[in-house]
Amino acid sequence: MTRWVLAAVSGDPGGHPVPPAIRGHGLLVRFLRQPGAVVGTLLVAVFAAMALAGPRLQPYDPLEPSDANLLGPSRARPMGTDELGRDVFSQFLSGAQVSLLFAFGAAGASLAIGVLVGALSGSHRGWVDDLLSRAMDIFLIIPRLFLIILLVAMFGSNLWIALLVVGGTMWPANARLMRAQVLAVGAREFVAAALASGVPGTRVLTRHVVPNALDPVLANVTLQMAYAALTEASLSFLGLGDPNRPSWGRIIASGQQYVLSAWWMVVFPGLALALLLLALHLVGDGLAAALNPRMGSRVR
Amino acid sequence: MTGRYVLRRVLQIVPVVVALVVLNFLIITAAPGDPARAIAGEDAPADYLQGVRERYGLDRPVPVRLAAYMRQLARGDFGYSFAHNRPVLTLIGERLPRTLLLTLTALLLAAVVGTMLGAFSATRFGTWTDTVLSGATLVFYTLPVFWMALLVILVFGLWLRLLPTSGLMSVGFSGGGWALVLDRLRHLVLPVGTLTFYLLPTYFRLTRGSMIQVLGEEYITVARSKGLAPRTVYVRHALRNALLPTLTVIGVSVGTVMTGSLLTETVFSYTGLGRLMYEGVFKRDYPLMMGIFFFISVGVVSASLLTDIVYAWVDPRVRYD
Repeated sequence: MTRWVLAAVSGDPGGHPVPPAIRGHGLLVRFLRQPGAVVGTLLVAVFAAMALAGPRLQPYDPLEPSDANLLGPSRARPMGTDELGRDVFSQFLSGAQVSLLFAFGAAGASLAIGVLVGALSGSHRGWVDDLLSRAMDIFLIIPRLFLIILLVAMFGSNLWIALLVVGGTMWPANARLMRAQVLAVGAREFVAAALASGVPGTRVLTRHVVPNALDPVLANVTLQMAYAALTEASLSFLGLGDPNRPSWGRIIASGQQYVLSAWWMVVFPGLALALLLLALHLVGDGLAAALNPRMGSRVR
Repeated sequence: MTGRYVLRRVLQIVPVVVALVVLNFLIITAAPGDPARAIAGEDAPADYLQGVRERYGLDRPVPVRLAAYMRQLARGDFGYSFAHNRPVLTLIGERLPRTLLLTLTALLLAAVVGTMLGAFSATRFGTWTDTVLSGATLVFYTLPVFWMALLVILVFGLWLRLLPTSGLMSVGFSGGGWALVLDRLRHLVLPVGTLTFYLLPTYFRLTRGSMIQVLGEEYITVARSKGLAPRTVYVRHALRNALLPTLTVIGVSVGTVMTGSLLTETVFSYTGLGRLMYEGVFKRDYPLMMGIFFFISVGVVSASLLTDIVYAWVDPRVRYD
C-alpha cells in the first residue's frame, strides 16, 4: 500500500461516502477557484502535449549509441548524453510517453475494474459481497510494490505486462470506495422510487446508482494516476523496465552510477517525474475539495 | 478489553496468510517457462532443478502441488538462494536487523516530528506559516524517494562532502569502541534522513487534517470560552483526539515503510532487506524475492492486527463485538 492510497482508505480524502455531489457548473467553478488545481491541470496538459508530440521533437534516435558519451548539456544536446553516447533529451521525450501511458492506461484499467467490482459487491449482499470484500482487504494490505516487482520479474519486463500488472493491482481501493458509495446512494429515496416504478434492478444500478456514486472514485483515480507513473519509474529504476522503451526511471537508473560526474542524467528526468506527480496530486486534491462541499468552504 | 477479542482478531490472520501462500503458488504456476526454475531461481544448477521437479511433484495435478508447497512452507523452508548460496530464511534473518534499525528510527522521527508539525500547522490555519508548511510537505509527499535519495547523494557527495553516501561502514575501517559506533552512525544519517522525509508528510497531512476538524468541534469552543490557555486547549483537548487516525496509520504503514526502505537501501547500498530484494531482482532469484514478499506481507498483516488491538485499548469507543 502506498502512502497515498493509505490516506484514501483511512478516511481522507473521500474515504467516507461523500454526500451526493453538486455536479456540473458548481463543481467546475469550485475546482477552478483553487490556484493549485489550475496549475496542476495546466502542467498535466503540458506533459500530455509533450508525450503526444514526442517522436516528432526527438533530435536523435533515443536508442542509437554514439562516441559522444557523458557529454554535459549543450545547445545541440539540451540534456546531454548518457554513458553510451545516446541523447538524453530524445530518451526523455520517449519517457514522457511511457509515464503518461501508465498514468492514463493503468489508472483507467483500475477505474474500470474498481467500479465494476465495487458496484457488484455493493449491490449483491451475501456471499458475493463477502468474497469480494475479503479479496479487497487482502489486496489493500499487502505491500503492492513488492508484489508488482515479483510479477513483472516472473512474467517479463515488457511494457504491456507491466501496465497490466500495475492496473490490475490498483483497483481494490477504487472498489472499496465504490462499494461504500453504492451502499450510501442505494439507500436514498430516488433509488427506491425508481425500483417501485418498475425499472429493472440492473438498469437502476447502471443508470441511477453508479453515476451518482462515481465522484469520490474519480478523485482517487487522479491520485492513482500519480501512483501508476511512480510505480513505472520505480520498476524501471530497479531494472525491471522494458529494455526497448527509454523511460524516466531507466535514465535515472543508468545515471545513478555517474551521479557525481554526470548529474544531468539524474536531474532532468527526475525533475519531470516529480513535477508530473505533484501536478496530478494538485488536481486530485482540488477535485476532492471541489466534490466535498464541507471541505470546499475551507479551500481558498 | 477481553481476551476473546484479541484471540478472534489473531485468528482472522489465518485466512490472510493462506491467501498469501495461494497467491505465491499461483504466481509460480502461472509464470511462463519452466516452473522448476520459477521455484529455484535462474542460478540453480540442473541437478537441483531435477530434484525440485520430483520434490514438488511438478508433473502432478495442481491441488497436489499446492499441498506440497504448503507443507514445505509450514516447515519453515522458504527455498534456497543459489545466488547467495544460503537458505532464503537465513538471508532474511541476517538482513532484517539492519532494515529494522533504519526503518524504525526513520518511522519514529517521522511520526513524532510530522505529528508535531501537523498539529502546529493546524493551529496556524489560514496563515502564511500553514501555507508554507503544507506546500513544503506536499512537495516531499509527491517526491519519488529514489530520486530524493540521489539528490541527497549529489548534494552531500559532490558539494558538502560531510557524510558517507553508501554502505554500512567505511571500507577497511579498523577502529573499535566508540570510533566504530560513530562510523556506523555516520553511515546511517543520510538513509535515515531520506526515509524520514519520505514518511513525514503522511503524518503531517493526517494530523493537520484531523486537528483542523477537531478544532471546529463544540467542546473546543467550550474549553476556550472557559478561559483555558490556548496551549492547554491545543494539546490536552484537541491533539489527544486528533492523534487517533495518526495512530492507526502508523500501524498500517509498514508496507509503505518497506517500500521506502527498498528504494532508499538500493540507492545508498545499505545492505538490508530492501537491498536484498533489489539483488534478487537483479539475479532473477525467485525464491529470494518470494520469500521477502511473503515475509514482509505477514509482517504488514501482523502490524495491522497489533494496531487494531492497541486502538481498541486506547479508544474506549471501539466495541469488541
